[in-house]
Amino acid sequence: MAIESVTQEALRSAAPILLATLGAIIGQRAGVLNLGLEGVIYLSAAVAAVLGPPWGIAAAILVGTLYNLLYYFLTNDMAMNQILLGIAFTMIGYGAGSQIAQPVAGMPIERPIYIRAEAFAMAALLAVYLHIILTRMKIGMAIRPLATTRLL
Amino acid sequence: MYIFLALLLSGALAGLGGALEVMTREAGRYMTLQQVSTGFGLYGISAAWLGALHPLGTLAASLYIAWLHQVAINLKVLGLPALVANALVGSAMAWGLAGYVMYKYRLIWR
Repeated sequence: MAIESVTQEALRSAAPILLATLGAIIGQRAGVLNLGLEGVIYLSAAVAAVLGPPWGIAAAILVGTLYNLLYYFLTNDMAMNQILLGIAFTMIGYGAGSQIAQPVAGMPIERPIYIRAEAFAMAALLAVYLHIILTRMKIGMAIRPLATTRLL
Repeated sequence: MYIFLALLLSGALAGLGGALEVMTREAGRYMTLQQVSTGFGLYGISAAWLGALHPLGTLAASLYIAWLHQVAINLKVLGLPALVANALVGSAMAWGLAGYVMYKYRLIWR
């Protein structure tokens, strides 16, 4: 097992983790502890697996946004407990995702996108851009004082 | 000191649960660890909260969660996937949270 292939596979699978962590960072800077992100990942992955490479990315982004919007509505407007609702949403995301992706479960990938380690580079660029938004732009300056945990 | 003892006790009880999961299967089934379903930790949190963190309440709530789990296992006949148990238990807990909020407050639309 060569070292380069292991590193490439590690970089390829680190990209979704980095993107989910960036989402969690924005949420926690705004005071929302969203534990339902695992359900968001599973549901968006199921939608993207059903629809394929060109339209799956846009549909996955839209589905993730709507799921988080539902979580925000129930937590902020209806004042439910954040942590427990996050756990419930994780489980609902798992169930709904596995139901949506049932026609394509177990079949080989037909049209993969040939991006391997470059996906991590794109995600890293997004992280740098997010840092610039949070520290320099007006929206970031408005989000940052809302944090409920003590940061560095 | 007491937090330490509480965590030791909770780990011991969870270990007892894991042992019962393997040892109370029907005779003739294989004793593999692949049939031990993962995700029971989230079921445990749901059952503990639905029972209002009281031991007797958790008794009734865990019976309810186990019933939902068995219903979801038997729904595989209709062709639904196995992870639909997670969705059922999660929606039960979400409705429980909604009921808790509606009990304490009253919603006013402005």
